[in-house]
Amino acid sequence: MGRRKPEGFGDQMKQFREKISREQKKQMRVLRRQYRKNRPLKEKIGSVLYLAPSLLGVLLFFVLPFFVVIYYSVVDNPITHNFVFLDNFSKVLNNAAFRVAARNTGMFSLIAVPAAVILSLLLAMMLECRIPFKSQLRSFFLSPLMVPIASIVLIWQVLFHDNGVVNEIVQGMGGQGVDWLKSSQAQIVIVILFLWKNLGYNMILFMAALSNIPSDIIEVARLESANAWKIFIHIKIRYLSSTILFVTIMSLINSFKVFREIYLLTGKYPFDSIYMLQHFMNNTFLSLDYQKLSAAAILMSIVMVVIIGILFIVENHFGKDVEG
Amino acid sequence: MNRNRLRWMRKAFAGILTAVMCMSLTGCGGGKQIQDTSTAEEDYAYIPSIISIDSQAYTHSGNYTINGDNLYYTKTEWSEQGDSQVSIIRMDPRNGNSEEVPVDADNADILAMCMDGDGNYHLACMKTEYDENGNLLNAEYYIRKLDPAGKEIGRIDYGILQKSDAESFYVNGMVMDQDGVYYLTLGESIAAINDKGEVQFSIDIPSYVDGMGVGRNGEIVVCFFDQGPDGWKMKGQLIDKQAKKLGAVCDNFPMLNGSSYIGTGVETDLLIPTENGIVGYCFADGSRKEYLNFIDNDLMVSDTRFVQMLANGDIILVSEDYALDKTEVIYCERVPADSIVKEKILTLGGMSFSEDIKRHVVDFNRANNEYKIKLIEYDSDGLEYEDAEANMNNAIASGNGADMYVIRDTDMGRKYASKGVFLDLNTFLEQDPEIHPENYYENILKMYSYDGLCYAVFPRFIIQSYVGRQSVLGDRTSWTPQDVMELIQEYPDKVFCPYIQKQGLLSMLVCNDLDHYIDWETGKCSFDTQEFMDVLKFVNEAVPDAEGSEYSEEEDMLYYNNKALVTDAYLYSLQEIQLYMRLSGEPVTFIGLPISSGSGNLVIPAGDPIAISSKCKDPKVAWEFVRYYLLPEFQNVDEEMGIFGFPVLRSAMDQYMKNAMIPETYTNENGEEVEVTNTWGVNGVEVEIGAVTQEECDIFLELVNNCTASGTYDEKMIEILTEEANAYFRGGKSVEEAVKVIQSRLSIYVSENM
Repeated sequence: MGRRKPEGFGDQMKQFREKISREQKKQMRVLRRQYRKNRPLKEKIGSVLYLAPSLLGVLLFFVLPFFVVIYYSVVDNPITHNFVFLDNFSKVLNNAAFRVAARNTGMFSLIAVPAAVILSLLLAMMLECRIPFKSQLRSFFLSPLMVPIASIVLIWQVLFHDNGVVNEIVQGMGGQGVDWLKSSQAQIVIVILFLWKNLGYNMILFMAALSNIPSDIIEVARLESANAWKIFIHIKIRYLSSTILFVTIMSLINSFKVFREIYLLTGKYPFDSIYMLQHFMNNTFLSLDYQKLSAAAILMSIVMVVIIGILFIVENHFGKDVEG
Repeated sequence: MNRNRLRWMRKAFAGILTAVMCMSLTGCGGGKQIQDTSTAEEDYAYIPSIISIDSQAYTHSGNYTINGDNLYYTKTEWSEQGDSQVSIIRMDPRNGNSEEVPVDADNADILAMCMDGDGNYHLACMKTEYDENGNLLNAEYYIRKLDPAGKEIGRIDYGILQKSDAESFYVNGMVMDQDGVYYLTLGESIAAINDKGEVQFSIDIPSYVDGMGVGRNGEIVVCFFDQGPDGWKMKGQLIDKQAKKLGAVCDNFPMLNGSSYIGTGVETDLLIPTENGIVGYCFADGSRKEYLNFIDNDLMVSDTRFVQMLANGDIILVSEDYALDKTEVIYCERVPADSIVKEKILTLGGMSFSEDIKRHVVDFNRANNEYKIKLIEYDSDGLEYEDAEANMNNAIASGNGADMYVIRDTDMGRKYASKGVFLDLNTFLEQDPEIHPENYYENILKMYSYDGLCYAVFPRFIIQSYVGRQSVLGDRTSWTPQDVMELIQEYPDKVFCPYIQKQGLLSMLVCNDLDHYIDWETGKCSFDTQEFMDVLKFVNEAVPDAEGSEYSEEEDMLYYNNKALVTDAYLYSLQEIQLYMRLSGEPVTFIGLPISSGSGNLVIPAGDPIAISSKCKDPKVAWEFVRYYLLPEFQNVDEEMGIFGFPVLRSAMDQYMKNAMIPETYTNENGEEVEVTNTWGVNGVEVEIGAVTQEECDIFLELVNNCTASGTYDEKMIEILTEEANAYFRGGKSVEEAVKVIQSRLSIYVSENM
């Protein structure tokens, strides 16, 4: 029989931990400032020189192109370079194709990313338990990572073509075949493709994170009569918060990369339900519409920054009292 | 180990690692490097001087050779009795001084010639005898050896090499190695025969031998087209004399252009004439070195008959210009690069360039001391069209575009015009002292316009139309898609047009009438309407299924036999108007493609449309280059010069029509002028054509004055439309499903481009 904790114990512990971490952080800041002031010049120059190649590469291949994109988004075209301020953004926001692409990309990310996170977490937890054929199942879920894209596309075409395997099964069961890739059901196909491709990788990340949760805390919780659900919500989720953030961000990034598969399956101008933002950007690039492309890219990056910012805030809230 | 020493060792190690990483970056892409260098990196250039030689006398490819610094070639003159007199010409290519070496009469064809170190001539000959019916009676094949004075000193029979029938046994080329062994190309084989007439070996080549040459160290190389994973490509391969078979393959072998001649190099192993210039090639590493670019050196070369480099680096070249029917010896003197006056460069960019453009560039450069036009070909490596287009896009967007562009694709032209890539040529047309737009067919002259901006002009045009009998078409001079459908229903026993397929009819009915289905202001498409569904159903029923559009005589003659309503007509000359009238046997109407409004007779440029870039360094000079095509001296050029199509200048058109109305005659044995009647074949039928009549000219002028620009429809839209319609035509989808997908995809496409 375990001891009961006094009332308010949890809150007191929480405040105590916050107080320590605030004081510690303050001390660290002071120490860092003193170190920077007192560092010899020679050391500073040495640091800069060693950092210079990487910095230069980052500037040249990341920062500078970013500013070039901003520049293109405020001129009328890449030839005459007349400044038009926000006209391009206004044109892009009013463009029907962009709105369709943004809606589809948003819908896809809203469905596929949570599904990828939740399902992979569930799979990881399932594989942490004592089940038969654990390593075979792990290899099974990881195998899509090794298959080349062209082969995946071929498989999907065979499955979901008008005369493909899925339609044959459906018709065999008395139903009517569907043109999976050229109808409103095309998003379902792409979500399944995305999940099939990415679940394995996310699952591995979660399995690693799950194995890092200190087992003594879980034992203590069990001793304190916490059930599996409470242990999951109050302990495991908190310890997994940084991994969940990472997996969510990676899945969000991968959800944009799904353009590659859609392009190989359906070409530059697919059915409108799977016309993504990257289709819009790809096609505008080919037609030398750099201003539209840049404006769309900046709008998309703003949305991404906001989403990731929110994710970081949420993670900070849930995971701040996690040790280590 | 003390701490200081450890610290220094760590620093040294970090420094070495950094240095290794930096050095590896400079060497990235290592491995076997195939060097392609150009004269731009060299400190020398070439100054060509041109000597015309008599092309009336018959000379055969392979009959040029070099000994010392002199060029030698054979000249054959035929007497009225049919006897031939051969002489060998020795020419100093630096000044054109030549001397004739008479050769013992033999009455044989000279197929190839080479010389040895003693100045003796070796001629591969063929003497044939035919009967009155043209059947071969007798043939002799031998190599004649002549001394420097032209006297025969030996003869070797090579007829023993003949494997196939005599008609196809022919020597295409001959070279000789240091051991006196002759190597003969015989179509799809190479044979070696020594000076005693003993066959050394014979090697079969996978395909026709396009060229053979001798390397600077005596290697014998052959080149031929070979089918590989990327299709047919030119392959160079050495002859292994010991093993008596084909030896090592030459990597990175350039594409030979010319009549089978490969020269021996001095700084490289070989000297190879390509389409664009003379390239040196090394066997060891497969590297190439561009010595001479024809256009950059103001040379117009259609075919290179001979090329050789002298010991001092000068190049001798024999060039054939088929259009002007002339043969020239070109001596390219190597001089230091800084001794050449550097003109300012204006660039002309395009996917590829016609002979006509190249000729004009050469003429312009020769006449202009201040500026030189350089060609930039975006499709020089045989890229896919999309990759070449991407090259051009990148060049323009990065500010490295050309000063002028050849724009053949109207989609591309409109795309660039909308981005301000081109200057408005209306300004130049209005200010030009000689060119006045009202003197031209303005509807055609300014066909390449976007939003009022005339971005390109072209010199000549052809007309695309459909022609049908007036008894079938009635009074119509144009028709709409609805008219087409009604007519097809009215004549169920006739096909619409020979070789038409469902996709073709659908394109015809929809693609020139897109305004009917698309509101270009709002981007709204109406392909999911009953009207469009009716068009799809109609096309599906009206045109029978067909495997393809393979040629068949029966299909060809459908129009002639009055079993087709119309036939397609591409009008290149006035005689075609007459041709279709006579083919039809009654008055006809050139009704064109179905279109909701305007004329369905479409103009297609016959010359290259040229645009001037808005970033052009000197637009005035660029206009000087472009305007030449609109001047009377070019507009009045006729088909015999290899330039076809109708002129855009009214006075040139009037002259053209006047000339076409003059009958062609010849004087018969009685001294009478007899009209010549030509026979043209079309749709499987032969029709007699003569001088055109005034009536035919009037019909033609009516067409010209009412033509519309071609290519106003978007290729991508047609691709989407036909791709989805095919699914319905094949029975894989219902018409409702097909139009739903068409509506979705085309809506996206149209919205995206708004």
